[in-house]
Amino acid sequence: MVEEKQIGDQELVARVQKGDKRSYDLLVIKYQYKVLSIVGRFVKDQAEAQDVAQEAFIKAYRAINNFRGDSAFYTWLYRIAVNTAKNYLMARKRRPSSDFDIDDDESSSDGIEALQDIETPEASYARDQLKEVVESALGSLSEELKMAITLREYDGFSYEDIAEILDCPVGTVRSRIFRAREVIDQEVKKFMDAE
Amino acid sequence: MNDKTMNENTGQWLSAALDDELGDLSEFEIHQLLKACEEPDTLDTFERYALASSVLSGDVVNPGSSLLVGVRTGIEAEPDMAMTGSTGGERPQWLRPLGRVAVAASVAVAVVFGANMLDTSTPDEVRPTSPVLAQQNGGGIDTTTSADNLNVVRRAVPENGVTYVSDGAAAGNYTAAANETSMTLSARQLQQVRQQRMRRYLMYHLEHASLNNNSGMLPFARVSNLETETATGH
Repeated sequence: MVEEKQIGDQELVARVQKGDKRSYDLLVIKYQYKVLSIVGRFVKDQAEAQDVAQEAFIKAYRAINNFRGDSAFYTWLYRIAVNTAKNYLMARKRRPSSDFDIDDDESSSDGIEALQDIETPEASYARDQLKEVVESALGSLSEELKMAITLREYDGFSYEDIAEILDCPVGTVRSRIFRAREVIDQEVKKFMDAE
Repeated sequence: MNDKTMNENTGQWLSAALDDELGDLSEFEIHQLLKACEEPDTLDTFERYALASSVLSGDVVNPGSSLLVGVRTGIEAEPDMAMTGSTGGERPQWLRPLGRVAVAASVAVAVVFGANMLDTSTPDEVRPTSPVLAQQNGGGIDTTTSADNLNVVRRAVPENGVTYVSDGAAAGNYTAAANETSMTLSARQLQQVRQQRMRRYLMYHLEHASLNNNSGMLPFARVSNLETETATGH
């Protein structure tokens, strides 16, 4: 009988702990934009924020043997990112932005407004363009694909919940979300290649 | 699908991995997925999935702000986690004093063991004096050594040897005794004699070293060298 394993963040972390650096790539790719978004609340310069986010990932790698899975990997990574950003600001003798409180909920709509003030016009334009491309691709999806992906991305439902809502097997949900992403990805790739 | 190198399964796995919804995969499938992720095209696809997902989730993202290369470079020099221990990056604080105690204890054991090896029960005897090397007339060499309690003398005549005697008052006695009871010793007996002499040197050293300072360790090295030199005939 083939041994089956639940692969997710915990499994990837376990593999990194055993010395598999490739698995860490997946975790970096998966969470880099979220970490950048969090760090961006503290460090407003985009280039500096990237450096700090990168440092946070490196710190997390060094400390990954201390991660025991008591919390979700992202929660643990989130704390490291926040501390790295705070330490960076302390080292720079600057205070974190008073516009945001890390204890607040993670709704990022306020963050977008605030960052728009300090972004370069080019960066702001590129970000708006990307958002437009993604939303346009989303709008072009068939109803069943759009329903599946929005329940996941906008509402944060699990595959199991979505399967219940749409009254279909989990496998179908997985497939629909993948196909939706595929369509969106075609447009995003065109956009990125043109950039 | 954008990339021909990526098959349907891999794409679906990547999508599900992004949502932490991979479900049950066989070890073989996990291996396949990780293998596919070695391809730059697959990682690019995964990265775009994550980018689009972040845009839809309302995260503040800018295209082209990938951290992967920088992070990879940063951890390149890091040792593999497996080599640094599977759990716990650092030793707990409470273990550190324990380590010092362990070192102190092992030193103490070594000292006690060393003291026992010195065999302090050696009877009073003539204190060994500095050895002298005396060239014999005939070119042949006598190795005459004191052996009070054994009452034996090794007489060997190597070609370029040196007669090795103890000087001082005891020397005459040794020589006299040697003349009377000289006999050829086996290698084992010679070894015993040498050990006896070494013990006496060490006892002598201990008595004086305890009266002096830390440099009292030096004679140990000299005795050791002396033995080596004697064995090699220098």
